[in-house]
Formats: sequence, structure tokens, C-alpha cells
Amino acid sequence: MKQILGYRGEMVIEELPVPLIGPYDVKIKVFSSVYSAGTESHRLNGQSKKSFLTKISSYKAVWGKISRFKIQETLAKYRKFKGYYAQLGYSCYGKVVEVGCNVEKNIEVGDLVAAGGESAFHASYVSVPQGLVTKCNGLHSNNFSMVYLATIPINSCNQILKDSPSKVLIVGGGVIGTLASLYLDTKKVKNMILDPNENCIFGRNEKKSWLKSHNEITTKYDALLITTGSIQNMDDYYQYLNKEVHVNILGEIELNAFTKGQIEELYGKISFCNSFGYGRRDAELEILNKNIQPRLKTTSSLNNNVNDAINFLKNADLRKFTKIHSVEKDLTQIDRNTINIFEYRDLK
Amino acid sequence: MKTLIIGAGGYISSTVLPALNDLPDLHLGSKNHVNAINLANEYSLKFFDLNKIKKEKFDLYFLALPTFEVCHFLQFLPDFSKVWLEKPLAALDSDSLDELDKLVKAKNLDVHCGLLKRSIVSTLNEPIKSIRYTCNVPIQNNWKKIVSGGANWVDGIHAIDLYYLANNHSFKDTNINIIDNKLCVKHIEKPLEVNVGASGYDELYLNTKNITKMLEYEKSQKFLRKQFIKFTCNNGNYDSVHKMQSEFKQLENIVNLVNLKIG
Repeated sequence: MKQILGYRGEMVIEELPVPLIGPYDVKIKVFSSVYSAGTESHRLNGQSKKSFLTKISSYKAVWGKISRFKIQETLAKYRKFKGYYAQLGYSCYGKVVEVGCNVEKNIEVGDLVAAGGESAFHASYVSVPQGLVTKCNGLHSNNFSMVYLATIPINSCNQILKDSPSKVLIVGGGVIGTLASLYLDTKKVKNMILDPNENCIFGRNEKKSWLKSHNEITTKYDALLITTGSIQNMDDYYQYLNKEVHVNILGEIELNAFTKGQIEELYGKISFCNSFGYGRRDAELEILNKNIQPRLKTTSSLNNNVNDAINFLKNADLRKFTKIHSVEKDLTQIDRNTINIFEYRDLK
Repeated sequence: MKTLIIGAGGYISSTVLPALNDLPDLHLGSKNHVNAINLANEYSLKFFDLNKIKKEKFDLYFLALPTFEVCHFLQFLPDFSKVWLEKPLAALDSDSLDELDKLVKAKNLDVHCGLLKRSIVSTLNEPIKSIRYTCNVPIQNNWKKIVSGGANWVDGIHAIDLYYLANNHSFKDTNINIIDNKLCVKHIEKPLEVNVGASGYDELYLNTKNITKMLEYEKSQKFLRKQFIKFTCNNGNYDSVHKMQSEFKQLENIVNLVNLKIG
């Protein structure tokens, strides 16, 4: 079977054995999978020689002098991982071809399903735990592959919507930010995307305004939805938030980007929650800053509602935001600033 | 000895391969082929496609799998195989334990349970008087079935095994309760606290001494190598471990954790 892997910072297509299934797994012949621009570009870039060199040069900026030990450590890590293949992808759609002997969910061979999580790779076959597989009927196939990816922003928005905000600021204009904005539109909630990286997918569409810098913000918001790991300083956003703001952090945010002091300062003024989806390495992220995690956990919800994502995608026309790629072709030149969908339909 | 390691998770990369990679004729396979290929390349081992497990015979199988998948893979192994199970059996409920026992006997398998945390006992030069162990487990709906691996969870089981080893008591003498999403094991007389739950941090204290992860890895690697080489020419510890695990009937309560939700 074919699988798209990250290798030294580039996407490569490799021939691999079909994955095995465990007793609680479902094997799926994949029709399409969606490329999550932020998360996967981050993983790819992290593998590249350039990123290691950048990391080494950053030591000087941080400490004023370069530590030989730190450089050696980073180079050792680079030597170890430069030969590693990274597995990409966490949201796909296809047909069930085999069901594990202990699968309790009502899933049978031949069912059309969406799948998510860390084993829902960009591959022509995947083996996914039953809890991350959902039957889908009647959706456009391209939208199908986005079900689990869309679950992340939609659950996050749902948490914010409990406080009935009138205006929401979404930081990050990647796939997650775009879907969050579209979902809030369906709920008639005013929202604005701020993309400090200037990679806003809406920017390509030009039908919706977006902001490139916090200096362009002219109004105050009731809710802040952070979808990107690029934020280094929450102070940039303070002045644009109303009191009792609901801040929602989602996706692959490294929480230690916020200092402990900033987090504590924010408590009492705003409520915090996170909505890491299944398969989004939530456990790993949540121990990054153990001092704040017990408090964040009290407001976190790990119960992702896949059905809301399905209902949203049933009616959403995402064609203008998406680009379809056949896995037969070279993928090194794809535009990483759009919603890329890989199709495996014709592969044996 | 032609050996197949099944599994390519954190324990394999941090402990097993550093300890055993110089052994001859070592093969590595995993449900996740790419993880196995990465590690096989790093340690110059032979990658094995597990789809072919019924077709090729090995002298020894090292299973580093989620406990609930062990029986599934054992059934593919030839009769009279030597099998190393990475984890204690206590994570199995009584039905699964019975299923495993039937398989082991029907196939005449020579099984050894890793009980790998026992290595850290040697970090103390004194008897264990108290254990305080806390590990972070991402409890979700049916987490046990949707989250593969579960090293943190099984760490808790290892702590219980340590406790058993240290005190040589039956679990009949203990109270096991689920409090605040944590499994709490408290001995009636002896000071013991094993918390398995969404605590947000991992800690292991033996007699008030904090056992660091690094120390644990080093000890674990040495301990594993010694035990593994011993197993290649001796019988495994299955009978004694199974007898011990059978006393863990109260640990069936652990399985009920799948019904817990974070607040």
C-alpha cells in the first residue's frame, strides 16, 4: 500500500505493508485524507536540517552566547531523527474492509466511515481504534475526510458558544481557524480571523476580511479562540478583550508558550478551556506545564461530539478552500497554505 | 537465538533496544510498520512485516503490546514458543486472564512476565517500607480501547506489583477504592499509596526517596538484559506470576475506570 510520510522535511510516498488490525481496531481502505496545514507543516519543518540550524542559532538570542553542550545535544538529535520517517495525517474517510474480533461498535465491512486520531494516516489503508471511527452517510466525499479534523474547532466553538458571545476573535487562519470561522458563521456569531503568520486561507478566497496583525484590531471581543502555536505573548491580545472573556485554546499549542505568570494573571479575568481532540497528543501536551494543567483540566472537555462536525460538513461548501491531490503524483510542491485533500481512490 | 520483538513504542525505544540490540538475529515488527522501520534502521535490526507472523518461526517472541492485545497476538504464535510479555498480567480482567491462561496451556507456551519495575527495587539498599506512586492516565470514555499503548496505566500496575513484592501480602489485606478519578490502593496497616488517575504528573517515591526516570531507565535496561538472557536458557516465571495475578481479583475494579469521565 502507499503511505505519505515526512522524510527530512519533505513529503514522500512510500510502499509499505498493509497495517495489521488489533482486536479493537477497524481496517479502512482510504478514499481521501485531509492535510492539516499547521500541524503537519510543523511536523515536516521540524524534521528539516533548516529547523535544526534555526534552533541552534536561536540559542544565542536566548542566552547571549552559544552553549557547546546544547549544540551537541541538538546535533545528536538531528543525526538520530534525520533518517526517521514521520507519519502524517489524522483525519480520513474510506470503506471498512476488516473489523477486529472485539469491536463492539456497530461497524461492519463495507460501511463508509470517517476516522481520526494518530493512526488515521495519509495512507491507502489504515487501522484505527473503533472509538475513532464513525459511520457517515450521504456526505460529499471530500468533506468526509474532514470529519475528525473539523471536530476539533467545532467542539472548541461549542464551548465558547455556551457563553453566547457576540463577537469572537479567531487567532490563526489555517484549516482549523477557517473551519471555526465557517462554523460560527452558521451560528450567526460575528467573528474575525487574525493570522500573525499571514497565511490565512480566507486571504486566498478574498470574500471575507481578516487581520494580519493585532495592531489592526479595532473592536473588543467576547471570546478568543486560539488555533495556532505562533502566539508568544498573550499581552498582545489583552487590550482587545472584554471582561469575562472565554478563551479557548485548541490544537497543537505548546502551553508553555504562555508563562505561568501570564496564565495566573489571566485567571479570574477570563475562563480557560481547551478542546484537544482525540489523537491530538493531548496527554503529552497536558503534562508540558504541570503547574497549570490541573486547573485547565477542570474546564476541559474531552468528549468530542463528532455528530456536530458531520452535520456541519453536510451543508458546508468547502470546494473553494480545498485542493485535491492524487497520491500517484509528486507531493513535494503542494501549497501548504490551503486545505489539501489526498485521494487514494484508484489505488489497489 | 532468533528473536522477534513485537511492538515499537516508548518502552522498546527507551529500554529494550538499548539493552538488547547487540544480540544476534533480532527482528522488529509492529502494528505500526513505520515506527518499527524507524527503530530497526536506528539499531540496524531486521524489520519484520507482522502480516507474515504465521509463516515464519522464531525461537523467542518479545511482546511489547497493550495488555488487552496480548491474547490476540499469542494465538498466531507456534506451539511451544518462548514468549516474553513486557507487562504484568494485572491489567487483565479475570475473563481475559482466563483466556490467556487457556491459550498458554493449549499452546504449551513458555511465558515470562517482565515485571520490569522490579528493577528499581535495587536502587534502594534497604527494604521498601512505603511506596507513593502517582501517574497520569488520560481517562476518556472507553480510553482503554481508543488509546493504544497505555504505558502510564500499566506503570500503575507495576507499582502494585512492587508493593506486592515489597510486602509479600495478599491483596485481601488492602482496600481498593476509586476516589476523585483515582484508583487508590491503601494497605490496612502499612503505609502505601498508589494513585492511578488523571493527576497531571508522574511521581514515584520509595521510602520517601524520589526515583527519577533516568535512574529508572538505566536500572531497567540492566535488569531487563540480565533477566532476558536468563530466560533464553531457562523457563519463564509464568506459573508464579499467574498465581499472584489470580489473587488480584479485586483489581477487576480497575477495569471499571473506563466508565469514569473527567469532571
